[in-house]
Amino acid sequence: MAISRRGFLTLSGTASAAVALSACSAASRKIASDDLPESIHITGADAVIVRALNRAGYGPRPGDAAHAAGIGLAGWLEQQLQPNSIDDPAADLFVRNLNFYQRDVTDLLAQDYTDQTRELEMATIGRAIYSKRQLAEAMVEFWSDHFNIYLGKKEHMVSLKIVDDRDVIRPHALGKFRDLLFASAHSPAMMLYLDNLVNFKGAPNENYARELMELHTLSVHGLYTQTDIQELARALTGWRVYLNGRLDGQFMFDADQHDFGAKTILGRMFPAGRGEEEVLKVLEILVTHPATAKFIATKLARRFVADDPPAPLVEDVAQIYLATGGDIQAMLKTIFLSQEFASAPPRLKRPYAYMISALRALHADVGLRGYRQLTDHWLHQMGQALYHWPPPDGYPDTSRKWAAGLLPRWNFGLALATDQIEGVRVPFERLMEAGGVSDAAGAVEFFGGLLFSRPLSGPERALFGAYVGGGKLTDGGVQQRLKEAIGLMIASPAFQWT
Amino acid sequence: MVTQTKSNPVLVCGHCQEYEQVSRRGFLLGGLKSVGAALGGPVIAMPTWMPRVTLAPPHVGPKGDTLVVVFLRGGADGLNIVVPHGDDAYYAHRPTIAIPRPDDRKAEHRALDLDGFFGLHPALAPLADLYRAGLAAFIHATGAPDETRSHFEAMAFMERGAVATGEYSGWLARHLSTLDTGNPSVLRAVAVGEILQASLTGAVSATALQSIADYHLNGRPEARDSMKALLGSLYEQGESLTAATASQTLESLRVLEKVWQQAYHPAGRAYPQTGFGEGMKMIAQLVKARVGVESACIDLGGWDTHAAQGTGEGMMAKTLQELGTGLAAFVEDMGTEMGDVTVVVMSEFGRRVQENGALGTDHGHGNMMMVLGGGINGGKVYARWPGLAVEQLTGPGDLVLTTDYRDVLGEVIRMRLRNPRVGDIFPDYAFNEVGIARERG
Repeated sequence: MAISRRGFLTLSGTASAAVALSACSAASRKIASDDLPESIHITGADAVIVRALNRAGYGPRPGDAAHAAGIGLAGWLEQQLQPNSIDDPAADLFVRNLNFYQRDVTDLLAQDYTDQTRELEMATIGRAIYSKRQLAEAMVEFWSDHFNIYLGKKEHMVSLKIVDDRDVIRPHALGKFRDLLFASAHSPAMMLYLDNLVNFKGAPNENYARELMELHTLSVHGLYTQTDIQELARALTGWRVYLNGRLDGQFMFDADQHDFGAKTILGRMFPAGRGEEEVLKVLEILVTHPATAKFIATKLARRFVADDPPAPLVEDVAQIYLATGGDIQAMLKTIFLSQEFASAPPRLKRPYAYMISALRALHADVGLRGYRQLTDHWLHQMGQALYHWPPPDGYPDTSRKWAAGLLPRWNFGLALATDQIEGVRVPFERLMEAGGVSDAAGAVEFFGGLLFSRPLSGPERALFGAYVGGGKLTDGGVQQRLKEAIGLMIASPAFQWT
Repeated sequence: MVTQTKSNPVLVCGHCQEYEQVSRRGFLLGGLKSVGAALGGPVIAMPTWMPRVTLAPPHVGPKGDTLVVVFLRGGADGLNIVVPHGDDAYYAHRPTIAIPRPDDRKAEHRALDLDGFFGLHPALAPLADLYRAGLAAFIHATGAPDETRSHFEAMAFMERGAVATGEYSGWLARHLSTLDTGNPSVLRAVAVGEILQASLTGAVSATALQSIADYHLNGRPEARDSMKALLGSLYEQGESLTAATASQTLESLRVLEKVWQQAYHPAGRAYPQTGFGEGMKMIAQLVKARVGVESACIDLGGWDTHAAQGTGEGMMAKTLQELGTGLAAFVEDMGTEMGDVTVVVMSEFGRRVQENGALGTDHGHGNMMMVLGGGINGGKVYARWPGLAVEQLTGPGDLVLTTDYRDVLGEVIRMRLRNPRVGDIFPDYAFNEVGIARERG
């Protein structure tokens, strides 16, 4: 772990001129762009449905709230928990057109790292904005924090992270925590990030052993000892990655580097002569441990319900974890259908969710340059650059941690709405057409509804109305002030909080 | 900040006359008056996450030194920073990565001797000069008693300054709330970065800043005032957590507008062109601009050296060079004003005495600290050295802690920041004297 939150600047500074990325191809962009209801009516949707769209995903696109309200929270959740049953042509085409995502790790390691970083960022953001499988994307973000990987560790980390995203995080994001943990423990990206590559027989390195228990499973209060860490580090010797040749970058168990001595881990004796199966047994202990159940339940409840997760809900979710072997769908169902979720306190969006939700609400079209602006400039300014959190605990997840950084968020809202982000465009005219908007006051009401998923409050209506002023929508000054008012809506607390 | 009410007359510090008229509270109320009437009288409520302890009214007194807290995130290897070259066991434990003795003629990058027993890593040459000039002191075998060797627990303990008891406040926030200097500036505490350091948790007047130059609201210049007014009104109506930070942000915009319009030319050597270097430069610029900064927090990462940390050269040497150059550039830039500034450098824990098989070091315990300033008893290493022989180590083979970091901070707070309320800042702690700080006149 290298905690320099700034260190990555040196890495992302060089932009390759010839990025041959085709994933934001005209075709998938057109599908996404066409996917706008012919007419949009702003009504006050049920607050719990809106909360679900905002927390179990990245906020509603025009028409989403009405659709979800139509099938109800349980119905919407049922669909989202079966992402493969959701027809999602724009995202499917987008993914099919990804270049590096189709390749194996050995091939990736020989490719340009800057180009791969661009694609990784685009593949993440593009799906968050355009995919209809919103809960799956939200869970990808959740597990990407839980099993944090920092791209700045080594320049070729991006190749391993693409593989980690494709083969570890995404296949299990809505599956069983057990499978996720075992897959992560075999992930070359994790081996490199937490130094298990250099964990040798006779000279163990404790980094991964510690975080495997502290951050991935038991939590720091999980009753393991420093000796457990040292013994687990010994067991993990030889869990490595091929460093060259035909299998370069793939996981290997290197018996030559494994410490075959006897060990005691978490009170369990491992006689001498055991190889790879030692760690598999330990993973089994960890994944079935009540402390792990409680830790995962707490983190899920924090992300989706409250900074200070309600204890009864955590207990319920932990019980489901234990009863189902960490079934993520079952835990999520309990959370989103709980009384605690229905009456959840407000949560401040993290910068990433804030940015994506604004792009979704305004049906923004993002081109290749747009992705670069969003990642290199805006996410960085707001403090949540993708895969660039150096410590292994993932980005902070409480409102109070993020509350200090409002100014870059305000500037993002204003830049988005006033067409100041190169490569990102909001189709104002099409939206207003669909909304049947005919005057300035109607436009304020309409965009307020799109962003807040409810009619404007009296004071909001007065403030935004006064800002835009009177006049015809064809007037250049009115248009300018309307866009600024939309920027201020994005900047406003009603949009920052869910 | 815990205490909002002020019964004592305002004592205006010499640095912030310009801002004495715009207390935070006055600003908040002024903002409400202009737009609040139409909105049905908003209620000013303290955020619910504020520390729940009720403290006695603050000590009223003039502003002491400006405090700069540099936190080395990741657990910096103090044994290779302030090197105990007089302890043979150090070399026995670290056959590959030890910093060679100052008199080791065969070696190229040797420790720079400080006092015949300790020496500085050669990449910290600028700090050796400051040490000789009496502007820098080091403490060794110091740190926090947390035994988890977890980055996150150790940082939480250190930055809270206490065992977690459910109250979410940091030691620096408690310092600010127990000392009333009559300084109403929203920049009384500055955090470099996007997220407040945990030591500032609970401080009402703390502002997160990435760069002065970037600190302005986008958009048409002629529209900015009405945009700010609108944002001010909206946030007053919203969640209390962001209501507080929004009003602070708007006030900081107003104050910093004057600062960023002026070009800044540091005195002294160039700052490193890194986040840390730019951050130190910004702190100097703010202090010199007299905008009411009393404390600033800045982080430098890259210390979690489990592998290939290097010796006199290599990965850690590079980070140390950034640290040393940044600190020296700051001291030179401040010039004679260093008499009113104290810089403290700390990290969550030290690292294992024995090097590991990857030519790095795992998480350990005791560590070093640095204190810089014109008002300290510099030119000395403060250490009750516990020794590095195997039987002298603690836990899995770590440096024993003989000076609690709270003794160092407590003394700086009492002597240099002129806040006698250290018992509220570090509760349930019996302080020991270190002798590192002179009483501010």
